[in-house]
Amino acid sequence: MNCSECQAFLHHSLDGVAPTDRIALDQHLHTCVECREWYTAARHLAVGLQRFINPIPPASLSTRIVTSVLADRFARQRFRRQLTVAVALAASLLIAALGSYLWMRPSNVVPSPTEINPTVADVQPTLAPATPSIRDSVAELGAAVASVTRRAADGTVEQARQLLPDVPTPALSETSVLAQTLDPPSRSLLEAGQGVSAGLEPVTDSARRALDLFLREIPPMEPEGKSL
Amino acid sequence: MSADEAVLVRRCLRGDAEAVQCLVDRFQGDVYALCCRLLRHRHDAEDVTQEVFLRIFRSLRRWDPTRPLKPWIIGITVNRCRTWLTQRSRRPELLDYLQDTAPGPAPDDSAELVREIQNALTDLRPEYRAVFVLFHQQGQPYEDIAAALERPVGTIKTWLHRARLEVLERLRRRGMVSDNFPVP
Repeated sequence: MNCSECQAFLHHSLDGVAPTDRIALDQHLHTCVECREWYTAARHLAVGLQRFINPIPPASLSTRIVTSVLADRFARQRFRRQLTVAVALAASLLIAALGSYLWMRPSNVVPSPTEINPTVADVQPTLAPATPSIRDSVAELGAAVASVTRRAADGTVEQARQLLPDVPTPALSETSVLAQTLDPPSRSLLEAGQGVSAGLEPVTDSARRALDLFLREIPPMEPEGKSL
Repeated sequence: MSADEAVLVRRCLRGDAEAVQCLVDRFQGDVYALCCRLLRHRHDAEDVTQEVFLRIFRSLRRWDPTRPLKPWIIGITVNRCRTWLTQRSRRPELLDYLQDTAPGPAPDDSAELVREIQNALTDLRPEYRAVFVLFHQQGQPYEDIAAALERPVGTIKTWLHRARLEVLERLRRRGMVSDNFPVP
């Protein structure tokens, strides 16, 4: 037997396993001082372990443990009950609040998409009414001038109509009248009025063009907001 | 695992105070002894024993009925003692734990040997000490220790082997290797 085998035997003996080759062990221990010291220490350890007194729990410990266990169980059950009640109460309140909200909410009002998601135009403040552009103003002014001119032309035509009956007609002899071939009938007064109006049309056109040129020379007007 | 344990646990879960008392009486000796040997302080051992049983009853539903009850309880005890030792190491040491848990004077001259073994156990690493105490002083087999500490059996054997070597080395250094040393 060598030292390592002796060490293995030592631990087996501490495990409670009986030695397989007692004679070989004794021979090795007789010759090896170090292994003999280990073996002697192991024997002392085994003896010392037998001398240990098993601690005895105090008599009151059992009662104390049972009391604390039952009290702990009671406290945990009570906490669990309180937790259950609290959760049930909270759930009831939540349901009641939800129900009252749904009850009080008008059912026929359906929010429009703009109510849910307002656009930028809704958020911006309302602007002042748009001022007419220069082009519109000029066109309006031109129409007014044309109207005034047309009215003047109409007045002229009317005066002409009133003057026409006062013009003396030449006295013709019956023979000459009979002898002369009659001219075709003159044009009606309406056609004469239209002719005068058509004659004045270039005047009104010229006046309109002159006014347009005059307005074109005027610098553009600044918006009211910028002047402030 | 005996069917008796499963029945006892079921009664405890139903809130049977008598079953609670029975379970405490059955295991309090082992739990208390283990606490005493690991903590080396009687008052701490009493407090931790009470705490261990509180934890046992709180987590009794998690116990696997197909496995024995004792290793499960021992595992809880060792874990609780380890936690307690960690907390105690942060506090100033107020008492001489060794004196507090001395098993009383031995009837013969082997008192010195017992004291040396106790000192050697105190110097061991906590996991080595737990394995040594469970095997040599609580009489637990390797398999139960492995189940309690949630380690492989091989690891438990290695730890026990090293723990023994350290204790024996201390005994050798202290001169307790003479054949003349009183051994009955």
